[in-house]
Amino acid sequence: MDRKLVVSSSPHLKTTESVQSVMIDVLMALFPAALAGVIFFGAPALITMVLTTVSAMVTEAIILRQKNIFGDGSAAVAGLLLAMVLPPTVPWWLAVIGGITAIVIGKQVFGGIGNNIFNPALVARAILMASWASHMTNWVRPVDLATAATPLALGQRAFSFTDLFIGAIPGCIGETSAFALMLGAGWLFYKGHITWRIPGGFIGTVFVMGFLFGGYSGAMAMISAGLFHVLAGGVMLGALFMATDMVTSPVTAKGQLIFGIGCGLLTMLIRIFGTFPEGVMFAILIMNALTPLIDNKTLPRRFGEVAK
Amino acid sequence: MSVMSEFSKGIIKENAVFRLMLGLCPILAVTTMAEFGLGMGIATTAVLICSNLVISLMRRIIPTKVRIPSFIIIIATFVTMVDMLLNAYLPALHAQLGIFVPLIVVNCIILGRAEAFASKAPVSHSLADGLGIGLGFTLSLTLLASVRELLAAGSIFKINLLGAAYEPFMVFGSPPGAFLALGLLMALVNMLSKKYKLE
Amino acid sequence: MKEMIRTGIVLMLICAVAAAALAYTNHVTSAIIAERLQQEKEAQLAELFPTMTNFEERTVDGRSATVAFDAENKFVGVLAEGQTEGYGGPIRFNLGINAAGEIVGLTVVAHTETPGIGDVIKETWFTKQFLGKKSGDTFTVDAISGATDSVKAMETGVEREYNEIWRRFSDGGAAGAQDTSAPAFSLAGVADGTYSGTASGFKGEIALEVTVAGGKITAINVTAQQETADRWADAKKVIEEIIAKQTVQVDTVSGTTISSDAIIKAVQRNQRNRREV
Repeated sequence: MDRKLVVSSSPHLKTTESVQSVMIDVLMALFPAALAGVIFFGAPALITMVLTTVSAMVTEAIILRQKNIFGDGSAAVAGLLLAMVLPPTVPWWLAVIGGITAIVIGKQVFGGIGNNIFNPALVARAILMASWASHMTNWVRPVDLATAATPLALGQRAFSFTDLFIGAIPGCIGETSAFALMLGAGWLFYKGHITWRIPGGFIGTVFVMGFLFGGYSGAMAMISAGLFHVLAGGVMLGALFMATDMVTSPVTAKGQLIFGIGCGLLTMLIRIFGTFPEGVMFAILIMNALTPLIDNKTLPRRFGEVAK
Repeated sequence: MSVMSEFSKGIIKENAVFRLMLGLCPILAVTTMAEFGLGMGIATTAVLICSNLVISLMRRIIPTKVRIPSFIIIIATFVTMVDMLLNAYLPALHAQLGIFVPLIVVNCIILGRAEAFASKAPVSHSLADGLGIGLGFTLSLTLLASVRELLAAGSIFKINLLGAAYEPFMVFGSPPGAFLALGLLMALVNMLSKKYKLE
Repeated sequence: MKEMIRTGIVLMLICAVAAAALAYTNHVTSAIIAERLQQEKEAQLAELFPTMTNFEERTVDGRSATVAFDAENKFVGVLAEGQTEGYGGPIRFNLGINAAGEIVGLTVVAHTETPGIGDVIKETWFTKQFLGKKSGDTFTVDAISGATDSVKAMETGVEREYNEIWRRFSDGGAAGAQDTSAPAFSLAGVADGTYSGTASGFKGEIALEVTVAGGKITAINVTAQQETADRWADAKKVIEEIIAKQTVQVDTVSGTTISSDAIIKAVQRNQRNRREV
């Protein structure tokens, strides 16, 4: 800081936190899930992660004409998050186009960091999905990488809950391991970057709807139907890392709860009644679009304001 | 303004698509392939020139109070004629453009030029204006459609340019891709025209 | 007041001119459009049923189809629309079946399957797998990973619709044939000249030559016939009526139904065949 006097209105809050430090925290939080992805899906997963992350960082550096390729770290987060929601075996060019798309269309066309309406990684995934659906649904089994269908397509009995929890199931690179995701999210809770409201609302709603819509078949079976919907597919990753994106989710406490419940509701509506087996991506994108409205409607009343 | 400058302004300075942003609905809908963009552009230009000519000729006869209904009748007549002629002589193009040919009636460009220009300007200027705006519209549509066809099918005017191994960027063939392509092209045109001072 | 009248008159004049312009354009184009639609239908049918020379729309049990006949008026095939419930919504398709009961054509007309996955069902290489299937065959085709539901929908849908159509039209849809109202008969756009046509009569083929001049039938000459002599004399009245009324919707003469029907058919048919002469 070379200026001695900064003039602004109150309140004045001093913190050592910067965009870069938050982004490094997020990257650290993503590490367990990324590691789990590499363990389960091997070299292809690692290559995909490197490609999306590097292409996103390079694109951002070129657009902003900055020399430091890491910059504030937000491009690396967007790139890595994108890799998390891609199947492990996507072709190299698809990963690169995804990284570029996330930065150009997901973020920079809106005016860069802090101005984007939608989560950049999910925007890129939606565009890739609309363009190369067959590559984007080419799922493989962990370890031996043979082609397989996802648990959501196969139904509840195909995999044990242990497999679902540690992530030894077909799926996107970073979404399979609930355990690794929770470990990473714990770090973000500890640092105070996310609150319980969005993930709680999201996961809770998915559980309740899975519980109710599985048909009546005894308490235990219904609970496991709810758990299945939480653990299979992208709900854990979406709820803990995507929906909690600070830029694209509401800032008010009540708003965050509404946002989380909305995400869960839409996810389950798409899963149960929609044409796609998985609905997390569209649910979060739709709720992203509603964020300004939610913020606006849940603004805390000013002290002394008279109710209308 | 000379006749020549009335003509040339429509190509970049007052380009209907990239500057005035008029008539975007058919633009987004039909520009999936270069030939449809070109066909739509020519059909619209034909209507625009005819309606500009007739409205300019009748500008002293049409009462001010009912000018909008009169314009719409004149425009709708030409559009319906173009629709019938396309159906009879260019059925393939007609089948592809479908509902968007009759919808030229409500294309803002045509009514916009009638109200803002042809109803106040002499015949020669109105013709030049219709021709210029129409040409600019056709060029923009063909450009947008070529970009989308290249990305979504690997070809332009059905001539394959990217080889058989190209895996199409299919989103550009769909409606969301139309918005993306139009927005990105608009940014590019603005950037270039600022750089080369084409204002 | 004066202004109001002027406004009204100007607006009315504009409308009148517009209406006249439209009427003229319609007059010029409508015949060309109608003929093209007819040709498209014919071309589609001719591709499925190479021996087809004639076709008719028939409805049996609430389902309509286009039934095709060859030169001897024998049933050669049927083209009908079918529908099935796909993964994303209804799939509509056209199904062509030849006289042997084999599927000879399948095209998907409309569908809402997932783009890039389920929409393979509209591809030719996919629909080709159904060709040649007939009653009693299994309607299974190669599974496609990711598109299981769409493929299943096509398998069951094509089989069900095939059976529905074939049940009604295996005899050429004779039950639907009581409808003798002739297809649209128009000489608009027919060049002057002499055209020939044939149709099966009571005892054999009746051959005709029709002379058209100025968009009207001026003469009909029978060039060959083997009908019963005295009945044929009555049946010939139909010819006079066709010329007098300039239409093929004329009453048949009792006792000579088959012969007079044949004349009507032959006139209709040479109208279709006119480009071959």
